[in-house]
Amino acid sequence: MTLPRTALVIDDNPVNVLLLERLLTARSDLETTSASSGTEGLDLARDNPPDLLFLDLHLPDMSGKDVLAAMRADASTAHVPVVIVTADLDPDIAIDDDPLTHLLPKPIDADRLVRVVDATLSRP
Amino acid sequence: MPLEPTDHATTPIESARDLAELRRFCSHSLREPIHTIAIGLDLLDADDIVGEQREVIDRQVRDSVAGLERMATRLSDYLRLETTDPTEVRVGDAAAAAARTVAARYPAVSLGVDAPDVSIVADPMLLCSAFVELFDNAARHGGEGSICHVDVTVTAEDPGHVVRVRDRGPHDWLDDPSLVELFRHGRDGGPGVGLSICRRITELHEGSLRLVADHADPHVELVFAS
Repeated sequence: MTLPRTALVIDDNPVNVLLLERLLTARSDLETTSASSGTEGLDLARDNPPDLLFLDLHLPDMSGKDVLAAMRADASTAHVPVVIVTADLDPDIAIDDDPLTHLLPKPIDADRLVRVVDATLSRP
Repeated sequence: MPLEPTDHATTPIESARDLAELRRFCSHSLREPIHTIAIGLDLLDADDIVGEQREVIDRQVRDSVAGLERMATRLSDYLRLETTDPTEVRVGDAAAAAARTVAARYPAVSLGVDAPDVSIVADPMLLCSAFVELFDNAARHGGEGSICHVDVTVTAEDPGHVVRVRDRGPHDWLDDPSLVELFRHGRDGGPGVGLSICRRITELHEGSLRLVADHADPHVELVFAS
């Protein structure tokens, strides 16, 4: 029996969280949890590194950019693929040199989300 | 020493920094709430969104609508600042009226304002509006049950008067003087209009807004020169 894959959503906006959860649960092999702050999200990610993490850039306690930096600096989470979900027209974050990080603009295109999830989870 | 803001109201938006700031403003303050409202309304249409989940989504949508309304109101306040009608006005009276307005907004905050009973030449409504902006900044960060004290002093300056406003709230502009520019907001994520309104009011009185970035005594100076 195959264990379900896990996704963690770090976003303080419950509308965004619910939308992502609904889009992701279309995949029966994916279990989703969420955190509403960067600190809570980092703790969850360190305790149980997810197979995929969705990250908002504007969190109440720290920026998504700092969350990403903390994850990449921690051996337990450095390998986790991250999808930054943002409404920013000009996100202040460099991901070109990070093959594990993707940008998904809002409004979320469901087809594009599925493609990103499929591509990320199909990696060995 | 006083920081000298640039005149954003009359300077074309041409620098890369201006554009980047506007893009950030549009992204976070406009696109995000619009996105939330659109998605939230779709979710509320779904039959399986019930109970507490429905309440949370409903509240988030309403908060986003209210946020956009507040921003539109603030921008309207700013854009209406075109003329002034200066007269002798008692600073203490204007400060007291502003304090009443702000206290009504934050009933859980105990707001105290000390202001001298002296007169300056200014538009009474606009002087009161400038005080409202500054007192609101002070009270907003206080939190429930907090005591917020604002001290207003006035000194004569040739020509006109300098009105100094001191409070113990956080002053994001100590680290970022550009917050006086329109749409540049601090850590509280407001629309970034309040200090611009204060500056515009002083400019309409042929004066200026000075942010005195003395870490031991940070305060705002409103110069009324007309």
